Amino acid sequence: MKKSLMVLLTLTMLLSAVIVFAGGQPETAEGEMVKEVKIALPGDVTTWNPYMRNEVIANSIQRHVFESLIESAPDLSPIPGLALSWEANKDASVWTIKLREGVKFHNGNAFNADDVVFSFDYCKADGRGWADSLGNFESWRALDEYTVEVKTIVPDVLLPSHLRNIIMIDKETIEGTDPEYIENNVVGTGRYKLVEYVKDDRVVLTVNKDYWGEVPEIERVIFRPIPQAGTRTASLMAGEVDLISNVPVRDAQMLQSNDKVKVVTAAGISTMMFVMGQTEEDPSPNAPMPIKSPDGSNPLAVRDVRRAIIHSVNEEEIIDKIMGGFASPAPTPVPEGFNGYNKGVKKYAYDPAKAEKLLDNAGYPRQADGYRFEITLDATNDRYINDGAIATAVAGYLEKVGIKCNPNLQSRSVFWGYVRMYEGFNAHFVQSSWSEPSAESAIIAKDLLYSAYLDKPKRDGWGGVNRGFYSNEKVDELIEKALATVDYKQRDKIMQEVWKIAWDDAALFTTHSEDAIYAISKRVEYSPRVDQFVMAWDLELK
Amino acid sequence: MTRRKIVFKFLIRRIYQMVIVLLVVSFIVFFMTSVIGNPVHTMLPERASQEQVDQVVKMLGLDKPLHVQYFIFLRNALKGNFGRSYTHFQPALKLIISRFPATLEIVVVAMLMTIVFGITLGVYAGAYPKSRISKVIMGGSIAGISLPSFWVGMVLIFFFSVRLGWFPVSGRGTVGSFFGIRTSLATVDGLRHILLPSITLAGINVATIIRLVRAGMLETMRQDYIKFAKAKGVSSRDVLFKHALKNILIPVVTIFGLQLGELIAFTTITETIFAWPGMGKLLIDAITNLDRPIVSAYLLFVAVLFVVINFIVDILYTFIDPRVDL
Repeated sequence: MKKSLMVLLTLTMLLSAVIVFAGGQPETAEGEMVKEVKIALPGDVTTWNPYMRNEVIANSIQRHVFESLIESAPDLSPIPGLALSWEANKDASVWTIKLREGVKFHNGNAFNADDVVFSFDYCKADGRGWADSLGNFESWRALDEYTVEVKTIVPDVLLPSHLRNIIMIDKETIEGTDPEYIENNVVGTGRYKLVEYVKDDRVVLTVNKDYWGEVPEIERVIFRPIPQAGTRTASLMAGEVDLISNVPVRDAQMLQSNDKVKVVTAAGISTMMFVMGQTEEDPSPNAPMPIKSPDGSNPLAVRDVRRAIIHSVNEEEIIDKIMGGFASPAPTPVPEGFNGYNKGVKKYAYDPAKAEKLLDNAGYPRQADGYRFEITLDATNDRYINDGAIATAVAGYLEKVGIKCNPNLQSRSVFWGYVRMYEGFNAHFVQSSWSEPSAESAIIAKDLLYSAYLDKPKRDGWGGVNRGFYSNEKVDELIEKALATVDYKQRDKIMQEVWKIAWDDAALFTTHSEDAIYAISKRVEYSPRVDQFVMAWDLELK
Repeated sequence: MTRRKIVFKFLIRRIYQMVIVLLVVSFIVFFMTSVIGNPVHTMLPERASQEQVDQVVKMLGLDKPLHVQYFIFLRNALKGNFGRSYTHFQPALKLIISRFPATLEIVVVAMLMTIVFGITLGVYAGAYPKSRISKVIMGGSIAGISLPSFWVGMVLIFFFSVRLGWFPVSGRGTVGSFFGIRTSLATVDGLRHILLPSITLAGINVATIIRLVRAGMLETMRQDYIKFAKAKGVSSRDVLFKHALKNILIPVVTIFGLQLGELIAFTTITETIFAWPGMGKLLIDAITNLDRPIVSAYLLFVAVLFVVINFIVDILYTFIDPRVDL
């Protein structure tokens, strides 16, 4: 018995030794050195249909293979992609787009105006993530082989920023096929071609030597989805991958002291935002924990109450203690460098004493139980970095100035439906994040500030995320005007005023924007993008 | 009745039971996944207009009353069609089946480890309870039962991958062909990838089987027929493995069957840690994305699996002990 056990154990050990040492380093293809990088992201591309999902991982990976007419530079300014130039008529209702000539798809087909028209058609018919980019497109047609004309429903000076979202696909390959065909026949014009896709395991890309622009230095890119943050970190430390994204704060602090890897951070554009339901009537009649005030009114309808709430939130402490320093203050949802960024518009500074005074004067003194009124903060707990902790902290700040605030934390799978306007009427104080990759604050304002009433939006498709039902005629007018102003500088001026008025009204407030945290191996250098897309050509081999 | 007839009758009865189980499961799964949230809002941008929402709701068939949706679901499920995944936009069952080999690989390796180490170490610990090795084995089994797999997985990664660099941290590695089946088990690189996740999976099962076998052996070794066999001069190996082990196998096989089903169905944690592209990872993503077609197809698949495994276990009883009635 003992003998056979020993034999068995020896055999097992031998086998494991063979496995351990025979494998060694994975061989490169055909024995020659390929300039290769491996990138680990927390998720997979999940679909190769470029119109289905609007989400940063899918976007990053797809944009190695596909391109759009207009592309974003690392700082988000628009640069020519498959289009060489674009021009509006006087009131920006008809746009003429000149295409780049001589561009070829990976299968050798030429790219021309027919492909553009087909891509718009395809996106409109079956696009879920991106169809709203075409919302204002009335019609489109090819004028000649390399010119496309787009007519808009209402004049749209920001049409170029919508064009950035819509990827171009090959008409000859995709036309007339069933929806599954596009998943398995990935043909784009981009810098890389798809070689192998194993769902949830790897995406292997090889460089497109016939690319119309500068051919990237890195010849092969492998994307690996590794959902577990700890495993991503371990993969980098073991030298299996060269770049990892979404590094948790605790790992970032640990990796900073490891000299084999380097931590790279980039200021983000998504800002943590808090909106307050400011209608006279209760905006959340169905809330499980409704607004409770001594006289039954909605305190959030009073401007000074909203200002007091903003005064009571200590954003610096949130950045320092909860975000571990990996975040930057965001006084408005408009990051610096965006059209309409106004340096003078700031968050009401942290000042609990002032907040108390404002609340006293607004007619909400502390009651016998020490509270002025009671509200509920709806937030996610699995969507943004430490979102649950942030909501709890904000509730704590309000508690200190005498506002009873119940944090109501939910999973993102339920949250979006719960807070959706005109659906549940559940929410009156909502924490979520907002980002706009077009760098145009007019679009942010159109979604967040344009008037919406309790029963219906003022204008369909406008104010679509104005969850606080903020309403100001002047602001509406200015937003409309900005969206009809072709001139960049003039638009910037109008939008600066919009943010000033809205912040005077205490329409909503923002606290911080989380940094994107990456870690890289010593063999590469990485310059991250503002929109957090991970592009292989932002990597440099040393 | 002949043996074959009995088995056949038993099979019919089991299929009948399976149909009922599946109906109940499908009912629960369908209504549970319907109430946890609206998948439309996770698919569309926040600013999506009501018109867009309605369009997607209609496309997914969510505009019909729930009971109508359920009957459509049942009718399609009978044809093997569980609908298209909301995130992958491919047929749900096809996605699950395509992940099945990867999961089966780590489970098969884990179960082989369970048989080899669980039974041999358990028999040894039961036959020589006072030896020092037995005490080490039993100590190890306590650790195996009480350490959670996510912790074991991370520790294994830390030591064997990050520190020693013997094994890859994660992923499935090169997939080779073995008699026409595409599997990681066919390449050395694949085997290197498989080992750590399999050990993580096997840990708790090895420990359970060790304790089960040991307990059985302790009791059996006191029986008269063992003493008789020893007195007769049967070699100690034959006494242990032919006389004693055979008599304690029924509970072992039962637990083994349950473990097998559980491993195949719920490798979720291990697969997530090791980024192993199996079914468990698919399930977790589907749950967070409210991907109802995948969740329902998955759970029904698991239900069928459990029924089949239990059926096989019941049949095995009759081979181990011919006195057992079906």
